[in-house]
Amino acid sequence: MSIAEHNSPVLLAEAERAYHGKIRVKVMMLIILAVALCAAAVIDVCVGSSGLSPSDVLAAIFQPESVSRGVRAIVVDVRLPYSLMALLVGASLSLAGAEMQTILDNPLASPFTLGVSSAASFGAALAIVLQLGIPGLPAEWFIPANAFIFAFGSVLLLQALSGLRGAGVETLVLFGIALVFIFNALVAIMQFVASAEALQQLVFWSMGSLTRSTWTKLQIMALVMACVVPFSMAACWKLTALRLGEDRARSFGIDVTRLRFFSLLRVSILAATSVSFVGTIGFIGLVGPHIARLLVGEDHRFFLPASMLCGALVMALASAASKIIVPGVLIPVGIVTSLIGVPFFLALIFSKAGKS
Amino acid sequence: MLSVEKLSAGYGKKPVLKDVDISAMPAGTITAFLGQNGAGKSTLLRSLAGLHKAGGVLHLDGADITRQSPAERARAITYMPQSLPQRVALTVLEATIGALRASSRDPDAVKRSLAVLDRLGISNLAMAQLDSLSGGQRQLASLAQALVRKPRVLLLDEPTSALDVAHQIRVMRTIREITEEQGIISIAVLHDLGLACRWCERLVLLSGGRVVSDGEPEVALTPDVLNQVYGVTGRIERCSRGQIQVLIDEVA
Repeated sequence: MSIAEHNSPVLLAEAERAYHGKIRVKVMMLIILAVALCAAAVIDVCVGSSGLSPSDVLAAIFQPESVSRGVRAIVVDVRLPYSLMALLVGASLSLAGAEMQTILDNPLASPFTLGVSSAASFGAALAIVLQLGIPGLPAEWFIPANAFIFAFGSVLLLQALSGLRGAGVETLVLFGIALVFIFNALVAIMQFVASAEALQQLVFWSMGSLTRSTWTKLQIMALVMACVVPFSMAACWKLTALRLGEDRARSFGIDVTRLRFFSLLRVSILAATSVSFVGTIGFIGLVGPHIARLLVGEDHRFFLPASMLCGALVMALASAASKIIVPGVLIPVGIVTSLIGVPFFLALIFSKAGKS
Repeated sequence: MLSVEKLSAGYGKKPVLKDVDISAMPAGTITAFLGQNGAGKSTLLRSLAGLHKAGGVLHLDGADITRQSPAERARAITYMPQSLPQRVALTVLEATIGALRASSRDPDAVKRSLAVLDRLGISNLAMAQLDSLSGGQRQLASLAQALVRKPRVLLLDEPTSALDVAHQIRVMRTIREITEEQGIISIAVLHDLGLACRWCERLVLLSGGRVVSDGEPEVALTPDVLNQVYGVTGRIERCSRGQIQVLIDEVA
């Protein structure tokens, strides 16, 4: 280890080749994930309770005039929006989780650690139980609009509270946990006063379901992703440097407070939009980044896209499984994500542990 | 040259540093900040790095760096914390490139990072995960992240803490060589007086947030200063090889 022992240019060239080789492996990993994701999406679109064959489904998508109007309606108006929404929501929640785990230096962080889902649930509860919503907005938009406003508002409140005292990461997480308990208590009050019908609707909403997907919501979700992802990727070097420690990142000239603020802003937009459209799906934001970390490490140029792909992949598989587990019954996807993701996650952990 | 004038800092209303003056620290030298726990050493170091809010003036090559933006200051000064964080899924080379790319778009980041690892004798660890390194290797990897930015001033917060004797010597020798070779102004917070006397040109001893003694090791470190700063009685003697030895006899 003495610095007198300089390596030869040949060894340095070998190290450089090894680095570029590792970069190629990571790119290959992203391609494999993307291919797996496409396969999972195709399976998700092809399975369902209506008994359509895969060839009918593919024909309805690529040659719509060759199938009946009924088949076209099932595939184009129901299955495609569900499946595409699963991909976008999975990618969105997982990206939000990846950024949160980095900026909070906490592997247990996810969009739901800071009370985003609890706040959204309370917003939805106000719409479901008390029919409260933004005046002038169509009634069918009350639930997603309320959920978005409360989810987004909870993060802004968190920012304001932490900004007041110049609080650190731990305080931010503690504020978040406090918000979880406050909003859960408020939701419990709503459940207590709700009618049987409203209570059932609220419980179903909180389980997370893709059945609320429409092409309009899908377009909004895609637009949000298209606006947010470039900013996340632009911050990838700063986020990588932040993994080396906050003091070190500051000494590199990074304004960590600003980086954390804008990252939380992105997280709140992604999580609030997702939750408002499909309800509470908590597991993806936690496990997607962990799977990505195991596969490509924490160079955020690869970690962020890998997190999106992993989240989308788990959601697509969960969506397909939710239609298969009980034939003829569509189980809320929020229940299935954990059932699908945990074995996948454990298998990866054990395979890594075996290698090391 | 880096100098400090009337630097004051604290935590809330509690003052930690009071009107600290340190005359010019020239390029190519190492200055050690010494003192008991809570004397203000790390706060002083963090204040120089701009990580802790402080009053006073810091002159670097004639310019007052307290008027510069954090990004401007970071181009000249790099701070190396006591240790690297745990559970980071990055290789030594990725972390070094990350340190460089955090605030620059250097197209030669890979080559430049490898050159620094080579200079520190750890290019064979380039593809090793940070979490797999030993304590000494981690400190050198940490040093690489600081040096790849080509700083004018290198601030080291207890760079030898938690290292065994052999690794302490290796890390300090490396810092010594790099400091001279690249004309860096290095400042290290240290607890080991023997290491400080052996590897540093200048010692600044702090007590209660004030500078008690400042100068070359044989001038700055006296039995009276030891007593005043650490509350111990001791002797400062030279060994058969001429190196300064600090022998502690008793805690006062």
